[in-house]
Amino acid sequence: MEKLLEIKNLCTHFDSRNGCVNAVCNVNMDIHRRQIIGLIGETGCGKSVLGQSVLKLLPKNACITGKILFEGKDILKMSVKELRAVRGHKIAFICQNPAEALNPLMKNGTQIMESVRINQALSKKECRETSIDLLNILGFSEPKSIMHKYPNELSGGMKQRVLAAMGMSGYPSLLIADEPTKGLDAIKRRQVIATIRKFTETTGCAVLIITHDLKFASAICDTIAVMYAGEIVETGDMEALFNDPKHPYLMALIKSQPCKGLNVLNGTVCSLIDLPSNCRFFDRCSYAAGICQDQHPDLLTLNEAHRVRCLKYV
Amino acid sequence: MRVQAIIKKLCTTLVTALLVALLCFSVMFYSPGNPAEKLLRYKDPTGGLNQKTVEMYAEKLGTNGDFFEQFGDWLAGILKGDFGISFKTGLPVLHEFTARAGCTISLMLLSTLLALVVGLALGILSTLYHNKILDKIIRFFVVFNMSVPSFWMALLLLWIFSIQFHLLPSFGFNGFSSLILPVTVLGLSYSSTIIRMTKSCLMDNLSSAYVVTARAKGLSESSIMIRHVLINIALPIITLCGTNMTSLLGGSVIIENIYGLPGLGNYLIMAIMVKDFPVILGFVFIFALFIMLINFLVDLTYTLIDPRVRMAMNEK
Amino acid sequence: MKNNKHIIIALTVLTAILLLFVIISPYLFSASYDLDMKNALQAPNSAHLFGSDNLGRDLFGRSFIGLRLSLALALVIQITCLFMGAIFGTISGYYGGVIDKVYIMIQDVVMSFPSLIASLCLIAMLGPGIHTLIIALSCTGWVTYARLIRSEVVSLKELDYIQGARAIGASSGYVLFRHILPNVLRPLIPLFTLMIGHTVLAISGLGFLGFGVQPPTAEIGLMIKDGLTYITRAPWMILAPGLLLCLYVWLFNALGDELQEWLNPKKDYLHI
Repeated sequence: MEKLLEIKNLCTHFDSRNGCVNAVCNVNMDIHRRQIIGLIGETGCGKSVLGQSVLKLLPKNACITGKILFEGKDILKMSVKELRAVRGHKIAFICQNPAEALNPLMKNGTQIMESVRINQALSKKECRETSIDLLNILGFSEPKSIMHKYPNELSGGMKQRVLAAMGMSGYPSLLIADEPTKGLDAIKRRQVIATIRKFTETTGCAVLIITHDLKFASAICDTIAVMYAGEIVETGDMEALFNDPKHPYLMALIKSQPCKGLNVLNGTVCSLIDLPSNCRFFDRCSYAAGICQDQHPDLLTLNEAHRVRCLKYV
Repeated sequence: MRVQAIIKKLCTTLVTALLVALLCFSVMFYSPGNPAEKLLRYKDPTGGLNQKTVEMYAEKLGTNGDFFEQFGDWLAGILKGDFGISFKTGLPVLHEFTARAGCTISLMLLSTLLALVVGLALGILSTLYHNKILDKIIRFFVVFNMSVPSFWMALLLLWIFSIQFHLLPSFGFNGFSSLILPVTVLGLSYSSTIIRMTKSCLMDNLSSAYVVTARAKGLSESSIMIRHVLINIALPIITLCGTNMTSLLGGSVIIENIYGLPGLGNYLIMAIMVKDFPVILGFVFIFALFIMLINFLVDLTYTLIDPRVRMAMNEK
Repeated sequence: MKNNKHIIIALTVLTAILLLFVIISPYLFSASYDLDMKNALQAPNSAHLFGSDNLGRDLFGRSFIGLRLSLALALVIQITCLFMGAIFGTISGYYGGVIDKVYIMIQDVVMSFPSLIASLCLIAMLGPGIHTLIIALSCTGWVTYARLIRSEVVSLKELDYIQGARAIGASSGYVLFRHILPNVLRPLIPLFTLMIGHTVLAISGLGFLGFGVQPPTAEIGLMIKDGLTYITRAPWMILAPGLLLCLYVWLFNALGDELQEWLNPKKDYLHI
């Protein structure tokens, strides 16, 4: 399969009042065409920052180093104009928290049409029709009335589908969905899965899903990458990973699911400001050995698809 | 539904206006001396009071009777557009008001406009250069500007431009050039709050999720600012302009007094000095009505622009 | 931003020193009450740093003595306002219902007068003087606090931990003093600092119009008013005291602004 996006040695840090926060450290990741890849990890592990780094959507105090090659071109080195041509057009992004991701003072229709207009040279009337079509595809029964409503008149799930319609308008080759199931119940979660499926069927794009919801990830992804304290600790095929987790963190995550007995993982994540020089999971790991205290593990290749960052397998 | 909400709002405004009228009138009513005595004292401050003349004047003014009777008379007069007669000039208060309103209104509008232009420009600049040197300079300017008494600023500018360099007229009203200094003083002193408000709203909005969405769409920074952010910061700024208008009425009193402009504030202060009660009462009540009108308009703008407010109103 | 605490400490120390200077000023400049017609209208020089006025009084000393009075008055007025605002704001915000509606009505009435005009009218009715000044400025100033406190109390009482405290049967007094007031203090501290500066300006404005402190007491607004006649011959009578006033008010405003940045970085409460 052809590589669509290649992330090489990506580091993102923020200057804050209390010091430099290393949100993402040395991440390498490949996304192939039509692949659905899930990035999982707990809150604050840097997964959202990684997603936003790809489109340079982070606030000004963020510093991104490394390479993000999209179709062979480095996004980090692009001019503002080139970057804008990628945003929306080639890579779509759906924010977490759909409640606030739409401009509250603009009609839904105007916001969707705005996206259509950026991506396709159409007249106003054609834009309107395209927008209505998009809403139709995403399962709105009365797209015309949705166009005339304001975001506050829609439910959370509907807002997310409006956001998806905006993302679809450019027929992108990659969709980044940041926490699409955050705060949604089981039924809504099924709707989101349907929305994303619809999205990939219509546009034929690859998807990067950022989530902390293992069940959701296992339902939709082909490949999974697990993040912990700014690093990728394990990646591989979804089935291989969930059936045979190698990293103690992923094992603990799977055990902590309600359906697997809700075994809570004790301890807290190490601070992203003063990073330890040994294994970042050392304090919470039930398999920790002496060597783990001194050495920082590298990403080990177990087999072609499965890689893990743990000294247990050295 | 929406019309009902507006009518309800209008009704509460009217009740407030009635309370304001009651307050104004009772302060005047219970201040020492009855109106006839006040008028006689005004006409001849040194002479004693002759009981007969007092009664005669009381008859003439219609100020015999208890509080509510007189209050009713006064209110009925207002409804007919009769605010009483000025002690000083013998002309109807309303006439005195309309003759001077133009000057004050143009002063207020021009000052608000200047404050808005300066405030928005500096507010946007200090957001774009957040924590850079320009932002710090602007922040210093804001705090310093809040610390300068407007009357002193007025005198300083008067001294520089009229006395030292003879560039602008110093006193009285003859054309637009007389308004330059007063508008500059008032506009600058009210720009501080607008700069602050613009900056804090912009900072909030620029880091909000809808801006991230707009960026992810591929919109340019300038069109994000113009199409998305400005309308969102418009509401708090309109509110602020409303409250600024209120205190501008007060601020214009001092400034008109210094520059000798024939406006409402200047006349009101003369009236207060000589205790021309009908004028004080009438002017203060009209000012209060004007402020209530502004607040009402601000609320109305909210319901027009913000669908969330509209929805909350409809739910009520 | 990073050195905000250092700035606050520096400003506090500077304010303290300058305030101390103001407090002891009557003992330092006791001679500035004396008339000295021979030295009237002198430009600033080594004997009279700010020059002298039309009666030959030293403007430097008089400015400080005037400022002392203004600051003391501002403190009294703001404490009164804070007290009134706290009572009205807390009660209407916490109990809601009819009390809140009545309070909103009162607030609307008070706010439909520009504060300067309302104070002028009150002073005109009661006759000018220091007591009237305090009454007038307190009557118009308390709404600022009441509004802020009310809105904070309203939003705080919906929070889970306060609902929780109420659910386990804590009395209203306990909840108010233990949980709500400490949180309201955060926005109040910078506001109070800022309002001191604001009130000093208002006092001098009223003094300038002749409705504040009455002569022969030294007060900056009054001194500037006296200087009006001599604006062409002796501009320092206007400029020098005003500059000193600006400096002191600036200190309070800058301190309030930094405190605001430090205590409530997320929300700007100071759009007064």
